[in-house]
Amino acid sequence: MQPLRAVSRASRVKTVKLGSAFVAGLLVLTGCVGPGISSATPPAAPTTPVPTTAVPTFETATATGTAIASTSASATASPAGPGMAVPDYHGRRPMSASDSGPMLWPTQTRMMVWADWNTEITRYGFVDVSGTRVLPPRYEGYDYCRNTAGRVSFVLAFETGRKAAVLDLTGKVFAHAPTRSATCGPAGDLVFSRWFDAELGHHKDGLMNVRTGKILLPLAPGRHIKALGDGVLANVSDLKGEYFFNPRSGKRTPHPGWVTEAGLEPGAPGLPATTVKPDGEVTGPVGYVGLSGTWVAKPEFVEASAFRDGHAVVKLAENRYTFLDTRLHRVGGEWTGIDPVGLDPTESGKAAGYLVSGPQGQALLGTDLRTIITPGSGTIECLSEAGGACSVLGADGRRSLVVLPKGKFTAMPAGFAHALSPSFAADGVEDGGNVAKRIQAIGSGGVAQLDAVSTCNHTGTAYVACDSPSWGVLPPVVVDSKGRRTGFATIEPVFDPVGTGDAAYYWAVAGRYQGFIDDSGNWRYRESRYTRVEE
Amino acid sequence: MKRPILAAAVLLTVVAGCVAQPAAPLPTSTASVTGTPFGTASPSGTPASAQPSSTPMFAPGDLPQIDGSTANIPLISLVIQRLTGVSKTEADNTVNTSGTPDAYRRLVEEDSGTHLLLVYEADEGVKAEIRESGVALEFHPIGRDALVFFTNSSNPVTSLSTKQFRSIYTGKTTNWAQVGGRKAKIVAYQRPEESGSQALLRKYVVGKAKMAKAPSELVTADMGDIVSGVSSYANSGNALGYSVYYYLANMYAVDGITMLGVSGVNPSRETIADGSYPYTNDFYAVVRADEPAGSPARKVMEWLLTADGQQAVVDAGYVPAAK
Repeated sequence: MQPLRAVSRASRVKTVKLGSAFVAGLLVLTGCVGPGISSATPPAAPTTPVPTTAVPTFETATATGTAIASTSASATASPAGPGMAVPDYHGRRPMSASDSGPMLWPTQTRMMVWADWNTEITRYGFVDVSGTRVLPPRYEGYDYCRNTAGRVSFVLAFETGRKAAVLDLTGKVFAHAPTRSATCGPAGDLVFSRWFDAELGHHKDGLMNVRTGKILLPLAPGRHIKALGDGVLANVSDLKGEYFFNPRSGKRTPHPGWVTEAGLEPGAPGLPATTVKPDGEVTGPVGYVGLSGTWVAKPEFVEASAFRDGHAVVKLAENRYTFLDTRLHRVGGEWTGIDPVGLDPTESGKAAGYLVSGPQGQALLGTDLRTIITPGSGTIECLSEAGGACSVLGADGRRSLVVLPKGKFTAMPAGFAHALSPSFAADGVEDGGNVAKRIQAIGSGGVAQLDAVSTCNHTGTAYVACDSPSWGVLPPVVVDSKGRRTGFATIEPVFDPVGTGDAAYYWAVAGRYQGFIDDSGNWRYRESRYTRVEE
Repeated sequence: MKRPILAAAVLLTVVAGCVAQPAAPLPTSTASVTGTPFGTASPSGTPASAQPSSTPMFAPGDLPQIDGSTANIPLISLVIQRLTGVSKTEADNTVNTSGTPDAYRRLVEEDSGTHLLLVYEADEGVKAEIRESGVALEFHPIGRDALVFFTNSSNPVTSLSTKQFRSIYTGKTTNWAQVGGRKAKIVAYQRPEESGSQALLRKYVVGKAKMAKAPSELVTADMGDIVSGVSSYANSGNALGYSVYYYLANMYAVDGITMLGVSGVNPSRETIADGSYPYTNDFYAVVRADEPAGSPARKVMEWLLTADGQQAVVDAGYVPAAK
């Protein structure tokens, strides 16, 4: 039983295959991590920042018992092998957001809970921009929420058995939702939910102003509320119909559809909606409703996505897909399949381009639908989480790496076949594109040899993380941008929620420590990994 | 979801110091190490070299999977270093443990891939599961640890008796003034009933008596929560927690914590080694009794019982098993 690898939802966004999972896959990502519903685990007590410790660390006798002394980490560190060094820790360092504003950065702590069976779970805590732990690892999930200007302004945090907490960006809990489950609402409000059956999705929602605590919309049977992503409006779905709601003005605009995806980018003509109230799966034809409350595109599509970068993808019939522009004209040709490539892992859900399929073969299109690779030029593979990188095996047998959205071509290094990211390639010893025995850093040309065939994924722009091929026998491997094996065991990108979508920092585990590192592999914050003891 | 455990005859063999291989005499609670199948023999009581042998016993990928208790992670890492020659960083990153209960379950489970545990004593529930599985296990003590109680360093109380600890955890004593401290309510943290340290608390202090009902926030699955909670709780020194000595001293040391003595005996390497501290408990190398002779798991286990292996236990900061 391999321990679960704790990852933030934001870091594990998959490239969405258009088809049966078409609509569901194109939901606007909110950066929410973990379920909004709590189960029973006792809360954590407040903690103080964890000092660095070393093994062995022995007690010093005092007059009042046995006081425990902590020592610096490097005391007993044995020399690491070539390319295996873990940087020394020099104390916490600032962890600013890209706009220099306040921010909370999520820490990950894995711990064991007992519920008939020992289960490893992840609890999230927070570090502020000074690199100081401000909240202990007590939350099972979190969600960054934005104000009307689009800036993250508070964090929803979910603690087992408790009402969802509203944290300001210094870590202070300044409000609670009326329920344990909540999501970000429009205009800096929150949607609170009461669940009846999580598996079936049965719940009812209300809307609350987080600053005043005022209930703007109460819980009501069958009521589902989703922010539209424009910072202003919500779509409210009640038993008898839906309406757009402006929580600041109180204005309600009824519309005739049932919105299937609440993503509204600037300039979009409307939202995809059906004529039939969805019940688990979309069953009716899909069109688009405008904010005026009328159909702007009649419901004639089998499936339809929200608009992103000026285009939506619609399914006309089985194996017939095309694009719509903001004038709702069909553009970009018709294809048997359209796969968005390299979805932005932060929040926008944007694609870096499209991998399309037709009778002549595969092709690659930019987000503006310009042709980057013409149909029939070769076999194209775009791995999920590859940051818009695709590998192309041309008809002449040559391999290329293509990076979207610009469509920049690079010859694939000899002996390598699969693009893990714009910066890394895998040798592709098996059919799975991210299964490798060797990893090459494209920029430096450095090659990391793995101990055994491993599954690898790029994390952020600076690293590739390869799972242990043999649990407890061989270590997992993290390769850096120079193609060197680092001393880190695991790395997870921590995306900047006010940035451009790149990883701001990385949550890293190395030996007995875990914490945030930067692109250079230097610790910004570090703590003991050993918070878990069941003995 | 609870995994099914094979129902079969009760075959659990808790053998303190049982010997699987006649060629490799193993330490019992009183025996000294006299033979070393893989290393250089050392006279009893003479530490072996702390350095790994020049020729590693195993290639890195050939070492058996070693599972076990969280508090044994540093030892597992050192074993990997000594037996394969990999760096400390690689060894630390290789270690992957399931924790005491699941480690035992993995060992008795067919085809789990686990053949060797470095592990603390299981709680009674897990022992029952092992018995029901019908799989006989072989236990060899390799080190010794202890249940310890701790408070905030500002607490003037330095030692309590077992009777006093029992009275606190059964709810009869609720104020530090009743045990010689300041007038303040005792905030007594607890672990979940299935946890290993809770098992030690029951074994040495509470027995089968009913524990005092603790508020949910004082029952935590995470030991780090207890440690940090006691160290910071209202800065008033009225919190009380418990853990195992090695973890508290070596793995999760935080400032502001003081370990309490038991009837005047403070927990330390020395008092745990000489047995004067009363709540000591061995930890073990464990294999299935049917583990084949000469298998990698058995080789590692046998090495741990040699002078070199026992030196690794010491070098990792543990108290070695009693000779």
